[in-house]
Amino acid sequence: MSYYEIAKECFIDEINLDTYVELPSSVLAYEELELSFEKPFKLILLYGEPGTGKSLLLSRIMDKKKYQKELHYIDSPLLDEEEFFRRLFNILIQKPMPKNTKVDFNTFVEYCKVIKGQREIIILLDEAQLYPKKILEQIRILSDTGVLRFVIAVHKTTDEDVIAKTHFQTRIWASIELKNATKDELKTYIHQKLLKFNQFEIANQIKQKNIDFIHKVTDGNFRACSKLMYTTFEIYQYYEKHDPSQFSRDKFSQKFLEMAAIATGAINV
Amino acid sequence: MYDIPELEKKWRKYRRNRIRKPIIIGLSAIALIGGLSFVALKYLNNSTNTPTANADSNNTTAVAAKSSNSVKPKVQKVETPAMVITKTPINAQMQPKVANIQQQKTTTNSVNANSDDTIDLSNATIVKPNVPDDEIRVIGFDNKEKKEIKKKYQDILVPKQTEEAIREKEELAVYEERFKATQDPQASLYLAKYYYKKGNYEKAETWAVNTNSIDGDIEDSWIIFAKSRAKQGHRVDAIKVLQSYYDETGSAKAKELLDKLRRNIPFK
Repeated sequence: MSYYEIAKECFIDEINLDTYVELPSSVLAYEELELSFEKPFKLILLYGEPGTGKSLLLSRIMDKKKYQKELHYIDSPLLDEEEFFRRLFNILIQKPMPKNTKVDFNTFVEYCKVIKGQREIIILLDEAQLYPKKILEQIRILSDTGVLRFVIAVHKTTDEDVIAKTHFQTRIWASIELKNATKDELKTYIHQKLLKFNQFEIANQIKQKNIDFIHKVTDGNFRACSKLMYTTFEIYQYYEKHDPSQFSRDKFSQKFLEMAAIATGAINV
Repeated sequence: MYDIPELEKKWRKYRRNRIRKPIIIGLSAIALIGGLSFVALKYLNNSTNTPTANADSNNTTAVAAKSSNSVKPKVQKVETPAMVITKTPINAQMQPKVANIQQQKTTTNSVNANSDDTIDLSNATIVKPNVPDDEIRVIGFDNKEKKEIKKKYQDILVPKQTEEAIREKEELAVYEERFKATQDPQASLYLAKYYYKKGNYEKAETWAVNTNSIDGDIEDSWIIFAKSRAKQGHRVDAIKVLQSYYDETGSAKAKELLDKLRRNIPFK
């Protein structure tokens, strides 16, 4: 595998806990979430712009707490009621719902009341801004039973207000905001990503000037940054194959970085 | 994969625009400064032409300025210009020339102001500066003085560092900082390797110990530790440590170094 291909792999946009980079802000959010798990919460709102690490945070807490708490992670939104009920049945009864069966919503509520005090189930709900209002309303009612507790991750848009205010305002125990990275955090993020794949030399070549540029064009967004870095190494690969005289192996190419920013639409020409 | 040649074209365009912007801003700034300076100079010149009635005619040097052919000299007293021409002790010979130029300038201005009049400059006067000669100083040191200062402070003067040395220092600081912040064993291993390469075996040993205390499974770190110990004269210690590592892991590298240490064969 080529030198730059490995570097490229470091920035694949995927939820991979092995390559997770701990940053001060993400540690803080994780600790806040972990602490809330010990409290009698009904709902926790996790919000932030796309690419700030909400899904990664949910995956991480799932991974770390799955043996201590009854946790369920629903990563893709359940858009119709039937699908939602099937999943709910599976979570509550711990068996798949038989075919050709329908369950009334009130049955779930009644069942929750029966098992109250015996089980505490935490459901991590990603991309909650996509759920229909009716399902959100049902989530609110279920959370009132005290058996089902929800961590709801939403994009920081106007919808976030709708979800927070209309449905859950009085039930939200904590609101955790995930923000874009600062320059220092972005630097650590890029270096750590490369170091996880033993790319010391490349990590060393990326200087503050490059970080400043990356931060400027991505606004510190992790996903945008990964995309930019991935494309940069893709360009490196191209030149390595077709015209190696175009770059030096001792210095990180600002030109390729700028080309990647153009290619990904981070800057407009 | 992207169309790289096309992308490169776009990048050139982007680069051009980026370069163009500061140039335009720079030129605008220069033009603005130039304009302001011109206005300021004009204003100053106008002030210079303001007559001063209290000039001391005994304390003057007369300079006759050549007037243009079209302006015929006619007897008219020109009042003393207000601008002060400083007499410097550094180049006294320059004085008349400077005075002459200044006077010519003043004359020209006067002519422009009253183009119908003919002016005689035979009685034109220049005011001597009211600054005593001993107050005019030369600032700065000559080479001899500079050398003397250097000699005096040579103990506390920091020697100039090469760019590479500065870069290396910065890199090391980055790794140290990274290690402190994240306890990343790869960062400490890098530092251990660096110091070993540079012959600073004490530091290499310290960083190898740091690495091992976080992750005891890094082979390179144990090797660096043993080598550093041995290089500092603790060969027996190095053998002991390496032997226990070899017993536990069966590492080929450890075995090779162990053999060398036992036979006292030099190693890199």
